[in-house]
Amino acid sequence: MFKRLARSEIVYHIRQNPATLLGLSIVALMVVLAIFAPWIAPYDPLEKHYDHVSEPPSSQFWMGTDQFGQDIFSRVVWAARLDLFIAATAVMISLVVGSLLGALSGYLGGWLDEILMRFMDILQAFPSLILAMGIAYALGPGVFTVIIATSAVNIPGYARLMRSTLLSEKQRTYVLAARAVGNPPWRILFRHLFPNALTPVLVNATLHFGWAILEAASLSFLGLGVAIPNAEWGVMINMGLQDFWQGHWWTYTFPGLFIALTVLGSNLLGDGLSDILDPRRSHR
Amino acid sequence: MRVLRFILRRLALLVPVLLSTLFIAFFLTRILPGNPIDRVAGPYISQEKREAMKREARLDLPFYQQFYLYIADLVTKGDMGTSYTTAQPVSRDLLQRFPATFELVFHGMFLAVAVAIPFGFLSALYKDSPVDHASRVIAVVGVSVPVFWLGLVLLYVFFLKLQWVPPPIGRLPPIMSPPPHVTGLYTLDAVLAGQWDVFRAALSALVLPSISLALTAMAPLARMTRAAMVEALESEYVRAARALGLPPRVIVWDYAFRNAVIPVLTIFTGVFGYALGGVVLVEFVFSWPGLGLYTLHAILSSDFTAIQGAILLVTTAYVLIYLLLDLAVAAIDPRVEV
Amino acid sequence: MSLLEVRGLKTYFYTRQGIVKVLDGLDFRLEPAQILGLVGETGSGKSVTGFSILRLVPRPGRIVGGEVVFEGGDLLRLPEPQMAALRGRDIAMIFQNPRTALNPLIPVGRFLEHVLRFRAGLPRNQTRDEAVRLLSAVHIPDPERRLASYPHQLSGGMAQRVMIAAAIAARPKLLIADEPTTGLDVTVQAQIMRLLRELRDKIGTAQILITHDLGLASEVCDVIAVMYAGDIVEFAPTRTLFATPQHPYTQGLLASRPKLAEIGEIPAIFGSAPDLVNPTRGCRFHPRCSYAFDRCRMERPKPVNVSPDHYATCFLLTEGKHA
Repeated sequence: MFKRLARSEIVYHIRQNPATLLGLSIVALMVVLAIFAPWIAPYDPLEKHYDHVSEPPSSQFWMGTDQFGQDIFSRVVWAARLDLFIAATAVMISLVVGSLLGALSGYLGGWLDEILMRFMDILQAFPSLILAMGIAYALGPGVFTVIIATSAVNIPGYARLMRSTLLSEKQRTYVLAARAVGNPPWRILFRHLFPNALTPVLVNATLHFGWAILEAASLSFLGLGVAIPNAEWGVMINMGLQDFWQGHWWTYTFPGLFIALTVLGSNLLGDGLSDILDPRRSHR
Repeated sequence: MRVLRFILRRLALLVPVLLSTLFIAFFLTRILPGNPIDRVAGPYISQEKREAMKREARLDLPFYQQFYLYIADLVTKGDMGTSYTTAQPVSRDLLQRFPATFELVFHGMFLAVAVAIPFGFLSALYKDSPVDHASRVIAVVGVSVPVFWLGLVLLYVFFLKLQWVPPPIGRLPPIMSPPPHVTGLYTLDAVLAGQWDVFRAALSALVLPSISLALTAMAPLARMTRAAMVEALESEYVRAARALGLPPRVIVWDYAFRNAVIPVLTIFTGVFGYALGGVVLVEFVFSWPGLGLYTLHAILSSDFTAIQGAILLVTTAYVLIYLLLDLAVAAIDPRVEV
Repeated sequence: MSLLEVRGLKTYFYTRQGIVKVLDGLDFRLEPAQILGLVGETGSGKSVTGFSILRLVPRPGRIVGGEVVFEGGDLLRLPEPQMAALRGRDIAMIFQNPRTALNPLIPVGRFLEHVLRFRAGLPRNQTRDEAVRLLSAVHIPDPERRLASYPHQLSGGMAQRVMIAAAIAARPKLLIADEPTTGLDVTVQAQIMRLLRELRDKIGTAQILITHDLGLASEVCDVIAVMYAGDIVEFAPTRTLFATPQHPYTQGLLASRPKLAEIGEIPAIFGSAPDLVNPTRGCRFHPRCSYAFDRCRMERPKPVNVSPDHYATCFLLTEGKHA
């Protein structure tokens, strides 16, 4: 699919849409931070410096320290690793489960399709954070819960995408030809149908990624996700809230900034991708 | 009369939604290993007290019977059980805390609509102008910023530093008592009672939380308004209207805007749902004594009757808004079959 | 004096692939109460011509040169407010998909009343009756009840009649009809065509009928202008065009119509639509012309009169190499 795009076209699109490049750079930066956290972070994120409690940013602690004396910069960097991991895993799970469900539903049709899609409708329409809270309640707090909660809510999105691609391609001549020749259903699915759905799924996954970070941070902020005092952006903001009255703005400002940047990056990237890969879709 | 049948038909479709959500809530509570009673009561209760509580919560009965009895109680007596944390009937808890959340959501959404729609509208009319680019940037940023962080930052600037707004400890300063209860909405009740100082205090407490809530809802609304307006302005019927020489005023309002409203209404439910999630976060940051905080505390303490009640209420509210929006679209769009 | 005289009209489209010179010096003339057929294939520029006259060329198109003289005044030089005053009143246009050209949220009656109020200057208390009158003028049955109908409740034919009613509400001198019957049933087509002719006969509305269907044009038009790649290659009264076509393209079009009495191969014009971003030098039709010779490849031909009311743009006429 990417071979279809001439290099000049990609360059043209990027020039038209510098925001996409910005988005890509931001996401890339975050990924680098996440991967190389152990080498970038000057301190251990849980190390408590008892003689440097709640200090503003300085040359020693670039983003200051929190009320336990932990270095905020190191924590932010390590949190990037945790949050990006959570988001990526959630997107992966959601994508696989959702796509399979959608493809199956579309392929089999009938009342199974009806019921499944109705269920997806309900799931998708429901306020996502409330749903995530419900799941958190059922499973108890923790990283695993956050991943499940963040992936569950987005399954309908992928399911619908897969299903509609499948339905529109199912009628196409080449599929009928493949079936006539005797190709087994799964081969038809994989070789012919999935590649066609790749574009919208990719766009959806990028946007989902940013959104997952928001949800994960929100859950942890509420105390339903990653436990305090682990290095997670939402947790850090919660700790900042506890410390709010002293006016130690650095405890929550930096983690929040990183959340906003990452989500912004993935939103810009997702929007740009949808413009590039499907020029018919008019955003402007 | 047709309208009534339309409403009833829609309601009929939505009752299953309510039931299934409740079912899921029930299911989640009781399916897990361990016992809801054990989780909420803690380890320091005697075994016989534990058994008594279990029986009272009907946990000795089969699942379907529990569900059925819950619904029966709900429908006949409005009884949703008793909260384990407040020791009050859940229904009373919910009723008590509802106005606070309603006031917050109302002001937040009102603000969001009041800003987003005109912005999207102007953005489309002056497409690709600096105003357009600026508002699109703001929209994208708005969607990316976590609402709870925004609340904190706003609080830091406007409370700690500038002292323009009151501290985030509730709907009114501790020394002030709420106005005589009519609706439970402090702003409205204060106006009705003529207590202008209370009104001012309640309003200023509302400012930052509603702005935080509004900022996240604004972005998708503005985006959709713009997209819908652009599509309307580039449509065939607008082109024909221009060819007929209809004045620009008529074209922009009766032709473009009217048609653009429909897709905006359609996403409104989604935005509202998103705002419902946001309200929990905002209530947490601002210590706002509403349903969001109530639900959160219920979850943190495994108070399952409260959780069930809260989920039911949220779903009902959501479903009602969905219905209202459906009605609104049907009222505007003659193509919808009523 | 002619009602409309188009001289050297140039309309270019500025696209990613380059500048598309859709119209590059178009000339024609229309007399009062005359019906002109603008016939051409997709991409010939016929619709763009219609838009250019009304100055409603959609982005990324722009009128870059020429004159459009309507009743003595050049429309291209008019300030926009005055141009807007003309639209719907002196010149009106109807479009291809009548049901999408009507606002789905406004009932037909209110739509007509809008036009009557704003374009025909009728006071509010008279608009309803006039709307009914208009609807019956376009032969819509039960016009009183129809006022409350919404566009999605109308058939294609009825919707087009409503559009026509709106277009003639202010008694325009010129009506531009852009493929008004494409997409309608053949029987409905005939009715609409008859209606258009009636408009000319009864109110004297001159019309430009834009279509790709030569046969359709022949039913109702007085004169036909055949367009190819932004140029009028032949212009003649209908009967003359069908009897003695001079331009190879016209001949090809006429020959490719399936005839009821004959069975056999339908001759097609070989080649495909021209590339207007990098137009070939010389006559734009020469790559597809069986008679093309050297001069055709070098220069663009100019219109040559075959008779006072019949001209063709082809070197064959000047070189005398005609069969």
